[in-house]
Amino acid sequence: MQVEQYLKPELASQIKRLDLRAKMVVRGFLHGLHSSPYHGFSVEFSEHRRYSHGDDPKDIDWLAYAKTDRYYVKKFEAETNLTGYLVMDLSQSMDYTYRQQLTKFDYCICLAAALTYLMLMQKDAVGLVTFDKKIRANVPPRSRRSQLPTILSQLTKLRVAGETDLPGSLYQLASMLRHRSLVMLFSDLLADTELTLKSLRMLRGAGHDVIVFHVLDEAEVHFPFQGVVQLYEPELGASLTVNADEIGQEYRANIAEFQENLRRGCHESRIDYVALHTGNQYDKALTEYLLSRRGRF
Amino acid sequence: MNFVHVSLLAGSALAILPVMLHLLGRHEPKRITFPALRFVRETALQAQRGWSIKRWLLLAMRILLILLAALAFASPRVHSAMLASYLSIGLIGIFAMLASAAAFLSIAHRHPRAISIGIGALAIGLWGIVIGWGGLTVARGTAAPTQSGVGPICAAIVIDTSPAMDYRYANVSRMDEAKDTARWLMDRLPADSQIAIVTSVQGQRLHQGRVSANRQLENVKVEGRVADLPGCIRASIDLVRSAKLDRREVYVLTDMSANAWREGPNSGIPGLLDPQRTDPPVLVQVIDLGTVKRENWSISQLKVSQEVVAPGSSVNVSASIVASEDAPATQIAVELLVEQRDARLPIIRNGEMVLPESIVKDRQNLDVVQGGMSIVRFSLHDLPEGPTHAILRMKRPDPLAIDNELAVTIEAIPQGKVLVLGNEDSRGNNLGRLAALIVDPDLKQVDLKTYAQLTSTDFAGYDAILMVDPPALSDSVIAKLMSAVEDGRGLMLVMGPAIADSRIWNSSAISKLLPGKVSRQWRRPMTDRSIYFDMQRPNHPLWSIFDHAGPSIPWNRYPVFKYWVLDELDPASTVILRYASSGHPALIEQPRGAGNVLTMTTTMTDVDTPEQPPWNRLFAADDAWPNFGLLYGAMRYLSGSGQSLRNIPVGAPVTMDNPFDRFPQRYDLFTPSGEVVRIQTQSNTLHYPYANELGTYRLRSSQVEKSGIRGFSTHFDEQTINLKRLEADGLDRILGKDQYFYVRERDALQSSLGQARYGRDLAPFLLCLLALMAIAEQAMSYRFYSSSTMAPR
Repeated sequence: MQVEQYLKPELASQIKRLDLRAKMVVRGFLHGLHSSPYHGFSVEFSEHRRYSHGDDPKDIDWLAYAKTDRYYVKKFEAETNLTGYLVMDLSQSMDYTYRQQLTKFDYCICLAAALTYLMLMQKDAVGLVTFDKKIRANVPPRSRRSQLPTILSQLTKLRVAGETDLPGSLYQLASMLRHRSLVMLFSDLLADTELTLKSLRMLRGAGHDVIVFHVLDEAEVHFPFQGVVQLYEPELGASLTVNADEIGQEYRANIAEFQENLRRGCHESRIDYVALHTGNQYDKALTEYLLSRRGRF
Repeated sequence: MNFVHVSLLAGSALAILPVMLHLLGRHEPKRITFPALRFVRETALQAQRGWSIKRWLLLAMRILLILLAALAFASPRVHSAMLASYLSIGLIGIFAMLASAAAFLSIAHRHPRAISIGIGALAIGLWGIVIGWGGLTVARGTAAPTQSGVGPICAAIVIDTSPAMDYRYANVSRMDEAKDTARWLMDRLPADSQIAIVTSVQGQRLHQGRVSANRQLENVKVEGRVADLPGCIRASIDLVRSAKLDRREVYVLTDMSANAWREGPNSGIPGLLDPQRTDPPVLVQVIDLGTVKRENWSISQLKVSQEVVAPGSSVNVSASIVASEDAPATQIAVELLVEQRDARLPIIRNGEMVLPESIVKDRQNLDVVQGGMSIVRFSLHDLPEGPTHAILRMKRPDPLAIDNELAVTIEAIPQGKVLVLGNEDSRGNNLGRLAALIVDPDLKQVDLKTYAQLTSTDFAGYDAILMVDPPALSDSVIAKLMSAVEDGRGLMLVMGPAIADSRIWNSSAISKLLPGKVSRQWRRPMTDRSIYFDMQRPNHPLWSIFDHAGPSIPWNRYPVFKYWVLDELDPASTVILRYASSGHPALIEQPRGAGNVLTMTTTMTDVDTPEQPPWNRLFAADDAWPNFGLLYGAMRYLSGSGQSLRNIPVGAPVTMDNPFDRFPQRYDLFTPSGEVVRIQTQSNTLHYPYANELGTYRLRSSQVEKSGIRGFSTHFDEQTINLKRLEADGLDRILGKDQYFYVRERDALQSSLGQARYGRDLAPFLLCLLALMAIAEQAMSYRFYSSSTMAPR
């Protein structure tokens, strides 16, 4: 399937190809930095990583120890570049928008494509993981240039499935990752909040850097309905007839509380939490996020 | 309640439409995919029940809207008296609806159960009141007037004929205004209506058309006495209820002077108009033609020292000038005009009454303060024989002219001849002479004789006979006396000590002159002052000599120590005086044929001497004026010259003595307005029971042998001219609250007329309610079925 075919006509008028769109986003970002184009996700990178519990003692660089009297792991020169995993939620709920051009899933793909391009520009390895009730597709991380079309091609092939098990899938992912990586999760997180946070903490506890792109549809955030409507949830097949005027305010409060709970939980675990909705222009949102992340280091 | 367009009530069937639309058109709401349903579910489940309740509320509101519209377009009308009830029920109904809606919403919004139950109980209570009261009102309330505006009406138009109706405002008297309004009302009555013109002085009868009613209306005029409006209204209600027509109306045209309504509180009209009664309803409208500010000066309270006098006498006349509360302080000139004597007048010439000329005899200027009173006094001297008609006239014009002058009549009649019979008493006092001096000090009209001279005395030349302390007389003498009395003469018998035993009184012929049996002589010691005269008939004509002061004569200052006790009185007799404490009769009048006999049971000329204590102190007291007055008045009465008045309150019956041997027997009576009535003497007396006009009534006889003129005047009672308006709530007390219409302007009358005939239209109230309901429905439906569901908020 061609990438262009994936793009919606409205979007295609601005961005002909997903990779071009990603390139544009990243270049705009780099243009704004003016210096050290190789900073960004690789700011933590160093040639020697200090020994930590769990590392194999045979990998200790004894020469460095002799010079510095400290333990450094020397065998991971390859890891001086960041390994990032794009983790895509394939739940049915992701295939939804009420009145925007992109569904939550499309929005996440665009974000993922941009980040892929950015990381490959920095010679970082990027892989792709998708999941519903369990891990589905897995593109191993590579840092070579051919990785971009591979991932983009894979992204365009993705299809949402039915129900999802986010915590279980994250547990499964944690067991799959052998090295400390940057895990970029794209999901609407419409699951049990506590379990979700627990699984994220587990990922973070395993030494992975985690960024949660929490993507909701604009209608899910703003609840723009009026009058009596029947709301249908595709994932569970449940429906409910409500008077939107009466419940709108309470609903918006519930959603805000939901996002705040996630934000607070992530912050406590030093996990980056990025709340987005499909009404945001994702390039601007991404740029702002990256700038703020850079500012923290 | 009835409806102008009853067929439009069928429109209420359209109320089925929202029900059908609700049931049949219940399309599924727009289905929207929404993954974040878990955040909706908790809120929605709580709100869904309330939403459902609101939907039913909206449906109920729409049904109610259609029912209200059908009801409003059908133009329901209710009886005016029931409007307040219907509006109150409607108001409670609105509160009941609001409470019901609040109760449902309270349930919908999951308010505390206690609140929902409380509001629900309130709603149920209010609905109970609405259903109960409404049912009673519809079942027992008075039906609204018939829908038809063209059916004939039975209408009674009550016109106030009180003197105050002569009050002029904008150069139009209230009476003229009343007549004009009455004609206006009659012009607006449908064809074939029956009309009655009702006043205090005219009998009520229904006219079958306007022509005859108009004719009667033209004859209505201001009367001299105050009208009895409550009585007229009551009679009018009875009259219109007796008619066969469906619609009955009573109009009252009045200036709202309180005087005309004085009998109101006891009239029982509220009960007659009570809408709960089963009698046919009668609509009563009171049309106020009066002015708020009333500036007036009136001359009233006439006092004449003597109304019937001997020729050549002098008379004092006084009257009061009374200013109303609104009349400013001013100086008023009052004239005394005396009518010249002309035996040929009055006559009717070319339909007009021609009267003798009046000339001004005297004039006085009086200062009258605002709301105050001043008294004017005149004297008339050397009065000629016959009636003297005079007028006291205020020279200051004011809006009410009818009370600006006061007619006065004084009649000078030669004193009747009196025969006084008396002997010398044991002390040598000529009792007869004493009595004669009392009756006529000049002894011109008195003949004095002893009882011994009676046998040769002819009574034909005397009008009255006074017997002082008579002895036992022969049968023949008594028979002659009896015959003289029965021919029309008066006899006064003053009992005394000449007959010393009661048995002699009863056994001798003189007993035939007594009104009862003499049982004994009552004696009291001189120290006992408990026996004195007690007035029984203060209005008897013989007291007219006391200037109407009969009840106030201090008889207790003149104790009686001896008197004859009379028992078994003739039932036809009248006790004029009794003795206080004992209750025995003292002065008795007994009619005998055409004449009267007055019997005094104690002496009236007894002199106080040390040797012989007097029977009483009537004559012996230092200030014996009551005894003089009593004897003088009695003889005037018996001689026919003092038993009638010449100045009487307007409306009172008139009685004048008219002995056949001195006056003509037939007269033409000229009323003040110029009507001529022929009256005839009956039993030497002239009776005229209809003196309702104010002014001078003149009697003129055309009999050749005994031509003569006589007359009398009528004047206002003190309270007749009282322009004080009826208090605001006075009508409510008299006619019953909400049982009548009160209007002042003709436009208001037009409106009131419509309301009265066709009832009160509820459509305006219903349309207001309809508009409020429509707004509420729109607001509620907007929240339910907004068409902008797809639009961003």
